Amino acid sequence: MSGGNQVNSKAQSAFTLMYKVVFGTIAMIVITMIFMGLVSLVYSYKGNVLQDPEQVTADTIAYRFTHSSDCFAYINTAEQTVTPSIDITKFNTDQLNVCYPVTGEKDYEKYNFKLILKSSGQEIKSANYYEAPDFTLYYTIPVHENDAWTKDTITIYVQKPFKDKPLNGRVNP
Amino acid sequence: MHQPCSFHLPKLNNKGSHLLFVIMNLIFVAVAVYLIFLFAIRSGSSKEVAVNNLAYEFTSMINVLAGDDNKIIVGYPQDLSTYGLILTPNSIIIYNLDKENGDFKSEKQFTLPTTITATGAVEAVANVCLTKKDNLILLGQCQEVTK
Repeated sequence: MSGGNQVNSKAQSAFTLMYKVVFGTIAMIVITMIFMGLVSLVYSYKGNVLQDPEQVTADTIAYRFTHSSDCFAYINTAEQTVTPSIDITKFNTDQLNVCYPVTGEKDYEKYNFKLILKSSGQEIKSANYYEAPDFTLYYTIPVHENDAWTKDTITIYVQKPFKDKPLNGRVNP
Repeated sequence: MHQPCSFHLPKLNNKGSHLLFVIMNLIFVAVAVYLIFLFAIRSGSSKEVAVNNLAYEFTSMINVLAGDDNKIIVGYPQDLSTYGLILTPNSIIIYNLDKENGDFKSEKQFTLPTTITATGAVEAVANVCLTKKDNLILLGQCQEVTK
């Protein structure tokens, strides 16, 4: 009887030890998973907080298209005054490349634009625009053509920066 | 006959072993909680967000200045004496000078018209201004750039 009791006691001790080891292992796995979850949660939140508002960025860049004489705004050479507008004689790709030079090899990593004048249908686009607009901006502006002013709407298609160059100049779906 | 000398640790009874187990668990939990808090404080530091936001705001200001032909002076409405700012023709770099919560740096790119350039650097200056005059965007202390 006493021998049997001793075996039982040993078995119980081994069982307790095994229970603690198994419990400890499971606890470590659960704690690690919780920690990893917390890490990913914090990084995801941080990524959202650190992300720049895209529409505002595009809007501040697009501001120059209609307000700067380096871009398409009409300049009265006699009075040296600039009117926020589109001068139709300047509305071409060469002027766009002066105004917003994104002709570099890696400039797909920057914002790219396509501009269309509604009434005439005239269209220009920056060098790394791959017909993949993410959102669109609309402005109603005066247009100067043949010494006359008309009102028109300019549509600006905005393509957000790409991380990798689109293959063959086309965008992956 | 000499008996071999042996050293035995005192055997703990059930209560002692249980107490030791609880103490070990408490220490483990305390260390884990401390590490998690340390990580959370480091990761969620508002300084990094502040540096990033500053760089973004300056980039926006530069984009707007580039789009206007007039002479413009814009003062940043916040004390920037704990930051360093470097403006180049295609980027702005902002870093923090107080290293308490870490060393953070943010660089943001922008694209100016080919006719305009940008330059300037300040460190530990409270009032920072951006000025656009002719074809130059200049970053500096407000009194300097307004002269």
